[in-house]
Amino acid sequence: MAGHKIKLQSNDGDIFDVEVEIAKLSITIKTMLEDLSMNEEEIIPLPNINSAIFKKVIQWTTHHKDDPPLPPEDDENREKNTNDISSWDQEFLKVDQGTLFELILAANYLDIKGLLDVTCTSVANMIKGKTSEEIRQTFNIKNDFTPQEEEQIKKENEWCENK
Amino acid sequence: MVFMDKQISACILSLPTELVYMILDNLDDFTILCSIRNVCTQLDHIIDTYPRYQTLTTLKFRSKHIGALEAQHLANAVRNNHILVTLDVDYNSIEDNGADYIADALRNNTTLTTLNLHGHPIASLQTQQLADALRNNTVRVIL
Repeated sequence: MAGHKIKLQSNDGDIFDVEVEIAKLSITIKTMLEDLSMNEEEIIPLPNINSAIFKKVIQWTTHHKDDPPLPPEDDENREKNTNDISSWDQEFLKVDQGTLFELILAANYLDIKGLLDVTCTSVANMIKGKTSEEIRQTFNIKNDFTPQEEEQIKKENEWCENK
Repeated sequence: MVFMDKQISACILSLPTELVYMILDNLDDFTILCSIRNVCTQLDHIIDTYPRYQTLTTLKFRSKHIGALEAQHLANAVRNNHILVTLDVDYNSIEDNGADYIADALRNNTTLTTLNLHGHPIASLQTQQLADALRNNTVRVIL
């Protein structure tokens, strides 16, 4: 089967020839191929993913195709070590925020746990060590608290801003 | 700043709740309580339903420096939190202004039952203020 390819179509119409073993890193595609007995000549549509994002996903899965399977999630140890993004992944994730969040959505839709983990970790690293205001600036989030709530926050900040 | 067409540009607020939870899974308790809270109402709603936040009853910082700003975040969190019952800041160096601020926050907190300040170099004036703040409170302070 090695080297055997299937056709996957992004939502903007591009068709990608992808090795079966790489495509199967996506549990969603693996399930389609196995459970739905899809003909391998058939084009599999991926209605939630555009070409630019799908290219990135293929790049990631190609690099990680020989990774050992991830250990099952341990509920008692949900807090993860966030310093473990490999240098290859760090380079790979040097993208604009829109792309990063599109990758999270794509990894979730395609059910690629490794990619989902590393993209979520990357966002978490952008949050760590920041104040609420810095987080708003980083992610371009509008402060939508009511004037009363805002006044309360300001009042609470006064004492340290005067120092 | 100019952004891409909104229809194709995802952002943290456009993620489904369970994916925001996955991001929060990577953050420590202090960051969740003191940084990501109070960013905007939507994120606050998500955090309110986040299982780890709902069951966060003990906040521990040991041997970590808490500066004035961190103490302020911490105090804001304690003020608005109805879940936290133990605040353990054992052996931290906490600035006097910070202790003062935490004392102020504790006046309004009815949930916290234990505050461990053991090993803190807090001046006696601040200790007095803490004691005053807690006079009408049921918090057990370990000094």
